[in-house]
Amino acid sequence: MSEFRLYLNLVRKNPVYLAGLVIVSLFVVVGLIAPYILTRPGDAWGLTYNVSRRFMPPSLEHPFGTDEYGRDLFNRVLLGTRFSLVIGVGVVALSLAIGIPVGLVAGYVGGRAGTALMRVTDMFLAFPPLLLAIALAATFGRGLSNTILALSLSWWPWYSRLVYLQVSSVRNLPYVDAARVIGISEVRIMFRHVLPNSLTPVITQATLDIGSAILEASALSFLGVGVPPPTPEWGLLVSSGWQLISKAWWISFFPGLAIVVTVLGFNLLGDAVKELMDPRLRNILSMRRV
Amino acid sequence: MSSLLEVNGLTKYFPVKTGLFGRVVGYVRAVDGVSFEVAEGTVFALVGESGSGKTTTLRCILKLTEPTSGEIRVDGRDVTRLGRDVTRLKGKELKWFRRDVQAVFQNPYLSLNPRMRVKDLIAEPLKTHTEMSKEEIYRRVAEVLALVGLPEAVANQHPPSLSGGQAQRVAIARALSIEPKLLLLDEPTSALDVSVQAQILNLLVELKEKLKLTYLLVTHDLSVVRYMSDYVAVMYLGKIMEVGTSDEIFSEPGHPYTLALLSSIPEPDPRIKKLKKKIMLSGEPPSPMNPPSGCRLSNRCPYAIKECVAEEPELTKVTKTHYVRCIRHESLSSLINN
Amino acid sequence: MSEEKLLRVSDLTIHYHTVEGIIKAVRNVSLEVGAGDSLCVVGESGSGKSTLGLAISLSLPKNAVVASGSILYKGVDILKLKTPEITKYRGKEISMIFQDPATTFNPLFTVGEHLTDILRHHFNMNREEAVKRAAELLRMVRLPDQARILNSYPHELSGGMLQRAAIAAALSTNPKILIADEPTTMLDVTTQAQILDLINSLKRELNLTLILITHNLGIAGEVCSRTAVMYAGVLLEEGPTEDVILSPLHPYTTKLVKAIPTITKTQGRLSYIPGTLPDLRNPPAGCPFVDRCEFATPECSVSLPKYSYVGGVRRVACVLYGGERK
Repeated sequence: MSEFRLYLNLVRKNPVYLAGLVIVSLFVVVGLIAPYILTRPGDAWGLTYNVSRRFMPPSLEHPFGTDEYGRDLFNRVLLGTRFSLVIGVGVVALSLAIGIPVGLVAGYVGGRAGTALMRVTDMFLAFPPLLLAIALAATFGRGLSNTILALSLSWWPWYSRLVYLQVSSVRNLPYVDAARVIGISEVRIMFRHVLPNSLTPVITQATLDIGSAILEASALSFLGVGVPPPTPEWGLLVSSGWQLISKAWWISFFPGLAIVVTVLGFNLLGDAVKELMDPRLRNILSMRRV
Repeated sequence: MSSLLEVNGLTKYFPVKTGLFGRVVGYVRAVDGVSFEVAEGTVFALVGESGSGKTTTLRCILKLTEPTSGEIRVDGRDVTRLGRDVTRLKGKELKWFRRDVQAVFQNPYLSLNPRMRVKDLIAEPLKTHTEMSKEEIYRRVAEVLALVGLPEAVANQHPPSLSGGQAQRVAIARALSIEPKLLLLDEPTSALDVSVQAQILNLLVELKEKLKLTYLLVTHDLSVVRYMSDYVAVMYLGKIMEVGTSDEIFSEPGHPYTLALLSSIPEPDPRIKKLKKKIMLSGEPPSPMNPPSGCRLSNRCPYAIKECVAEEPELTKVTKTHYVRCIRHESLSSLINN
Repeated sequence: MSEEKLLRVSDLTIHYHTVEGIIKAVRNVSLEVGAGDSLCVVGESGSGKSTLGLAISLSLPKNAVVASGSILYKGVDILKLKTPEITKYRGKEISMIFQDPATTFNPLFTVGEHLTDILRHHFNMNREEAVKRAAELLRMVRLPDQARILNSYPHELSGGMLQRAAIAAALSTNPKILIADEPTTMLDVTTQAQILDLINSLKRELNLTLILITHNLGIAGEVCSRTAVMYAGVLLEEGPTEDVILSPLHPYTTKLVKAIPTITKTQGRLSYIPGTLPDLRNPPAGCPFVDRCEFATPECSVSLPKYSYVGGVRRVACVLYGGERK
């Protein structure tokens, strides 16, 4: 009985989980091909200024309307998908790159050094992550890489903790003892035996966190400390339409909708994955009559 | 016949801490003065229930834990003074030790990294200790697989897809790949089914003859001990209560605890059941932090007398090979028959 | 022997739906247990013995499906009962104790609270009466210092004491049948001896009907008058324990008896059973032992042999004894 079959049964029980997979798949595909399918690349990249087309409401020609510079919003939101994908994946990847080594060393060495290292991590965890990210982003200045850096610096402690917990239990398993008895060096044991067996929870969590990363990046851009204009990042698009909401609601609405739907998709997928991982539920899902 | 392994006065105390500041309130005396010798080419068994200290003794010998005091000599060389800090990188000094002394653990699904393929698991000791080329290593892997009776196809599989018996054979193969002199076996068949147990035990006996190995067997299962061992030491609460040849221990046990262990084995054969001398211990094993005064068995032994509580007995000699830690051992057989 | 047996299992087949496929854990098993009998179900892992125990005590997990058969208790098919009816039997008429006594108890409640809860739920007792009865039960399982134990949490008790408490809890509702699934496997041998001795006495004192599930033939010899041997979901042999052990009929039983190392004499090579268990997702059509049996004939692979009755009190499912074809 394959994983996919189980997923199908899960969806039959609760059709909402299908939406998660569909949305995320759509998001990834669009994010990858967006620059190549733009109908008005100039508008999308923010290089044009069409006075005659300003503030046009949604229509067949401009499905999402136009903004204060006369740029087609559908194209901008479409390109924004690419930026969200890059930021989402970038933040998560960088957080893992920092968090995994810290958690690994703290968990493997253990004892007082390990606990001390985790206390430092805990200090970072004490800050509400978004506030810390905002403070860091404001300090670094606007920009795509600065945004990714600021978010990663506030995110890595969560992954550190996940890895630390997993490593702490794996290092007591008999095959680690066996490796010592064979005569393998501690460093090699840490990388060859303990690390590969400790990554599953954190990788799963990270993949699903892409959605949250996108949300936080949007928040930063909305507040003006993230990505600078004219980048068509969704949060930025929302903020640019904010003052004009009564006059041209579509400028904030469609990018906002994109954010909500994408994050929702990741959350639903995350819930589906967590249910699939629960061993008891997996067995019930494999029953013919669910 | 020289002794390959010598343990002298081994102790291991674990501090017990409580409170906010981790004040030490007492010690668990897991191993409290254990001495024995394992002669080359023999099988020596350490028997005991949980809390007896046999597993801790094994871990001390393997240097997975640092003993509190005592000596462990392998092949005449003192092992305890080498590499005090167990978590340090292997120094050149420990290398010969790891090559000569290997181990097989209880649960092969836990003692084999589930993400590695069988051939890499067996190759690992070879890569660590020899300068063999890749082809030479994999040739040796095939050799060792055949030695433990596994087909070559197993080499590309992962432990979770193997049966219990197969997985344990892989663990044995891994231990033997670098041709050790001493093999420590920690409950090697306790996690396996009865029919598979027999296969593995037969294999271990065969390998010992073929490769001229020495075994230190740690287990709670007396029938396995009877099948395989030349010498037996019975442990209780961190001390050796009785030690002797297999025949001496099973046919003429001197210590009440040994007899209680022997009596407690459920005997399937009803004819033998009637003939067995039986004694049963009362109560529960005491906390290893507070062993009873005098003899450690005194609070549970049906034959305990005043003198048993007063002073802890020494190991007294019965024969050249047989020692018992009990002041009443001479009268034990008459005590039982009454 | 025409009196109505207390428990009659007929042609029981149980499947587990798992991620790896449908596991046919118990296949066409039939047996009978009379009041006051003690039956041991012996088998290695994968034999289906635990599943059988769970079925009889109405504790099968959600992914288990009863594909066929019935379990008649006092004439009622308890497998067909719906939820309100089941509570009359589960834990009340038929009780079960497990390998790990810790799973019986909620770690957040003391042993006393657990016992008094059961007592007050099943009988109309007030708190005082329940506490008194709980202490009595602990005395019955030979636990000293009952007051202290009633106030202890499960993790504060040793394995042996906790298992005794579990037995007390199981017997608190005055069940007719007690099912014990590997009750001593997790205990030290000396404690095991004490627990088996206790079970034997309770069996006599309370005239309990006992079904003991174990992989250890020695325990069968110590406790039960009858023994049934299971392999890969099929019941291969059944009879008085002494007979099954001293003169086993089925080739599997014979090999099992010979594979056990004993302490009474030194042996040459242990006889062992070559091969491995069949895959329970696709068990062979005929006798499951066919791949490992030295007496196998082509007939054996065709269908599960029917039982032959030997000497009136024993039965065995093997063509060697002229079993009739299904």
